[in-house]
Amino acid sequence: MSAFLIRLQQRLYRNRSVTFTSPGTRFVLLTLAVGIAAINTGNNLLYLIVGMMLSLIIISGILSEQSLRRIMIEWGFPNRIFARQRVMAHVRITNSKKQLPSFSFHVEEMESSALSLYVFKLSARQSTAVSYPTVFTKRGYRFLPSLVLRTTFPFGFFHKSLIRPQDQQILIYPRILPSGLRLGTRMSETGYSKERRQRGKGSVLHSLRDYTSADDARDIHWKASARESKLLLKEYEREEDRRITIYLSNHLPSSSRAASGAPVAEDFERAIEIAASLGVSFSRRGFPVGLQTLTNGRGPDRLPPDQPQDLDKLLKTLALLESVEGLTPEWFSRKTSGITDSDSTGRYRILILPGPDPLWDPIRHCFSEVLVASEPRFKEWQIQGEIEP
Amino acid sequence: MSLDRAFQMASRLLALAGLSSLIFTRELFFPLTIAAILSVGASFILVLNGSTFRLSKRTWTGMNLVVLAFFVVDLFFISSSLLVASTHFIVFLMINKLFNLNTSQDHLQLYLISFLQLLAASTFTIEISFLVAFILYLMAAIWALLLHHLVTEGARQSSGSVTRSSPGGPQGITWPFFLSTNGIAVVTLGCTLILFAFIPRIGLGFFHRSQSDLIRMSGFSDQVNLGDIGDVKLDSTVVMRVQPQPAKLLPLSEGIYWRGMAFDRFDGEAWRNSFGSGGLLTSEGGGVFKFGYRRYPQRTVTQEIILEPLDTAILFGLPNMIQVTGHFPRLKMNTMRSISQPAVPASRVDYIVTSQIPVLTRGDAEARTVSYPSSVQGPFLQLPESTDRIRQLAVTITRSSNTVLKKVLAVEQYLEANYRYTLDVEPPTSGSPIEDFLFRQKAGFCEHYATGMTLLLRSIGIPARLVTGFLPGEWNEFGKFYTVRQSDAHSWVEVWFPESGWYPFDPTPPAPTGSGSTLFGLFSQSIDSLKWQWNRYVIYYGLRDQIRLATEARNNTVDLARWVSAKTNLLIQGMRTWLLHMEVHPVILLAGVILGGWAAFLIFRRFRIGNRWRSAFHWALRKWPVRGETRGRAMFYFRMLDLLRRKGYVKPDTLTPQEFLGRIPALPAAAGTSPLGPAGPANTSMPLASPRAVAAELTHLYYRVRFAAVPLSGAEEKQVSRLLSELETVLDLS
Repeated sequence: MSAFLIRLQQRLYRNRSVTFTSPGTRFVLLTLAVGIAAINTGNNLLYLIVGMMLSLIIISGILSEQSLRRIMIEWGFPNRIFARQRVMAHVRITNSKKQLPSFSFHVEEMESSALSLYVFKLSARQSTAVSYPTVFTKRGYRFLPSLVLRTTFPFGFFHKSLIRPQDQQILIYPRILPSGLRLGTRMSETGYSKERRQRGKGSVLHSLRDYTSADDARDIHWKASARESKLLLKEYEREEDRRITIYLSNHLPSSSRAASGAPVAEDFERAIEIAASLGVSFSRRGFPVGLQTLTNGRGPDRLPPDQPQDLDKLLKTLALLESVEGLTPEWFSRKTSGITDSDSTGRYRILILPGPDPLWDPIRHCFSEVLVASEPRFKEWQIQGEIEP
Repeated sequence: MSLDRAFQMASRLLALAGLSSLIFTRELFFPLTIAAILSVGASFILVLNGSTFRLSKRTWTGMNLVVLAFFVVDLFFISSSLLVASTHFIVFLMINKLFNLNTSQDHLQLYLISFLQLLAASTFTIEISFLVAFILYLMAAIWALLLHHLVTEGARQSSGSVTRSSPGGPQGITWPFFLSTNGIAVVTLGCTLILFAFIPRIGLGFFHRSQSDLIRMSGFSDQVNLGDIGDVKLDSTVVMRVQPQPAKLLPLSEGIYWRGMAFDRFDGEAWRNSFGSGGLLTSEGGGVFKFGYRRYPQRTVTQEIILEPLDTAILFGLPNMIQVTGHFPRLKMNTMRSISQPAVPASRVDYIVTSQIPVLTRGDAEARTVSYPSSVQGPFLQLPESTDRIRQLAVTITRSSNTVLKKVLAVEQYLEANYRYTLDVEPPTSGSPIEDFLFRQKAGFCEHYATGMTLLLRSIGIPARLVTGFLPGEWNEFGKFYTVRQSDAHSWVEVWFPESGWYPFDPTPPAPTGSGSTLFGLFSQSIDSLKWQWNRYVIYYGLRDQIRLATEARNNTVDLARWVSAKTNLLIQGMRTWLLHMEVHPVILLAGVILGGWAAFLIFRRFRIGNRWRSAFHWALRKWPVRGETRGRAMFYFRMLDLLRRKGYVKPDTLTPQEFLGRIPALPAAAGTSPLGPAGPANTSMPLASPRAVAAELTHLYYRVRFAAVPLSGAEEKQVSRLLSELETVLDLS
């Protein structure tokens, strides 16, 4: 029986709170006063009035509970959410009761005032939706904000709150830096020059030439042929030559060395943001981008030299990337042997370091660009404004 | 109707309900009643017309000063009662507020004023009209409070205190809203009545205010002039309601009336009680007063009586009252067993009487002569002067009767047969009114008949006395009680017998009764029944009733338990008999038991653990095949869940696999704080993955296999095996 009572109590009070409103306090005090008068006089009509007042309190509790009961909340977000970027959060509130409507309740975010929705009436099996801007500050898996349903329905005597904790998580990609996007554009236009590009199988147009009978007629550029009055053939850029690989070092020297100008956690975060910005920028311009990190013990023993990835996978890797410390030179050289051993001709490889790292010094020549996040110019990037990637 | 207008109307309706509760009490100053009614009406009209008519603030201030001055005058000169003067003042406040309802606070103040009016009414009246006002008030209060909340919240929303609102705003009073609100009011009323019944009555209720003027009665003081009762025989005012228990004894046999006072001395014109009202008796506890012993237990009748405020202290009941229970500090009883309160009560009295209906023994019925004790002979054979003619008449009547009882019956029948019942009695021509009745007019009413019979019996040596009280009255079929009116006032005769004591005889011929079977009569009965219920179960509901209610509930529960137990035993016995007589092979029986047990287990598991709201049919048809497929293709995910469960990370059914990832730790259990620390694997310098990251990859693959129906490739199967072993490592399970 006690277990049943405990379960009942948990069911009744879980995530709920009830406080008096100002008229509610006065009403309860008045009830007490009339109750005392009834006991004192033995006047049954006063008992009847006390019964009415207590009934109003009980009915108030039942109706407010009924109003907040089985209100379902669904969240909707854009496919890609970046840290420090304003996104529209969509909240759909559904009354999943079969028959009864819900009246006069507020939906609010528990720990901020970003959302405050008042619903006058929500009929059974009906929904209402609201969108509001919100910002997530950190990358990685984040819990959705907990919501609270509040009501003083039906008589305004009590303030009833029902907390809806959200145990659902969403993945927040790293922050995108506007300067990082511009750098990516510049790199793809200048660093990755025409000289690197060669004809071959691909999807990006490289040039036009005269059509020969040995060519595939499907590749004829009909508009250009009409303009030049001769058959011209489309030649494509070789796909593998367009590959850009970002090597992001997630190695941080041990804390004892941090005092001597070694990269710290902030630099690591900035390196991730630079990598994400470049990845987005390259991807927008149609370059297959790959990302390699020292990762976390999984993956191949040797980093593959050039392997393009889907942008979301790249961003997810960056969102969840954790730093590692104290790597040994032996392990590092074995891990990076794939880079040093491969032919770097025609490849565009960018190395991003959180800060100066002696481990990478022997192989810096293998990279087209080396960016060090702890440099002052990158620190300035972080105080610049936001951009819609 | 728009929500705002409905709100304005509801507030005024609540004010009207509060006011009506006061009006029903008839305690309000009449001109004020008229003014208040007109104000409420005007206020309604203003709302309906959408008028914004307002008196100036200065005018209201001036009126308030006048009202304050009136309050002082009222207190000291008009009503001379603080309660009444305060009530008048509250009504003035209500009028003021009705025309100044501008803010939410104004409406709340009006609600408080109307509530105070209801409270005041509860102290002024105990009439059933209060119930009408109360129900009206409750309905209006639900509407007013509900609409006040909705309109206030709506106004707050539009004033910008919330950032957004749902698109569906107030749409006015729709039919579903109307019905729902009234439904809430009905439920609240039901809840009120339940609470009323169960709130413990620990008050004694000695402070009831005098509710109404006393009903003037004749025939129940120490001296009754002959003809007094005739004055009240045309008055239909209800004097009491009596509910006998057990009701199966009804109707009461003829001659069994609600006895009040007895009289011993007659001086020719008036009866007197020479014994006084008797000594004071104290309660034996719980308001119980006992007056005698149970001589005839089988003839015991209990009566629950609600006595209206009469100008007499006498308590009425069937003859031979042996016990009275009620809220009496003391009671009195004289030698003639007339029971009275120490003083005339100012309000209604409810009490329970236990009486023993008199029985005439065979010995008394057959006795030819009786020797009477001096205590009986002295007072009850007394005769006024010059009663020779009466004696001669008595002798003539009883000449052929050879027993005492036959003589009594002969006198009774003689009067009944030879005299005419009338309330229109001429003034006596001779000096003795009773001789005028017996020998000249030969017409009269109960007092004349009873006096005549008493004197006739006394004149031939049979002790007798006159008793006053009431006829049984009108039986109310709806409420199973008697309604007794002033017109039921009656007098009859009690004759003393050695074994049976005082036995009643009624020489008055039956008077014509009212038409109880007409439509009006039925309506009147139903209204009277309602009044009885109101008095019995509301006004005089008390601790005694609560105890009785609890006892009945307990008895009913015990009865129900016994009934269920008996039926269950019957069922079990039936099944046992059926099984014993049925020829079933033991193997089939065993298989049946196993299958039944399995089915019961499945049902239990389904409805206890799973989603209880989904039907078992749906579950049986759909859930099993899906689960089977899932287990075949995505067993690795369940293997992952098993590994996590071993470390205490159990996936609740309520979480999706993606949601469950958030419950998995981000740090590896095996490696401690540093991935390359001493607790790490000795044969590698690689940092350990986090369990969450490994589980995320497995979950990703599970989603694909489970929902995209894309099976794992050979390389992916190897990857899954590697991830599972890696998970074992990072969870420190290996």
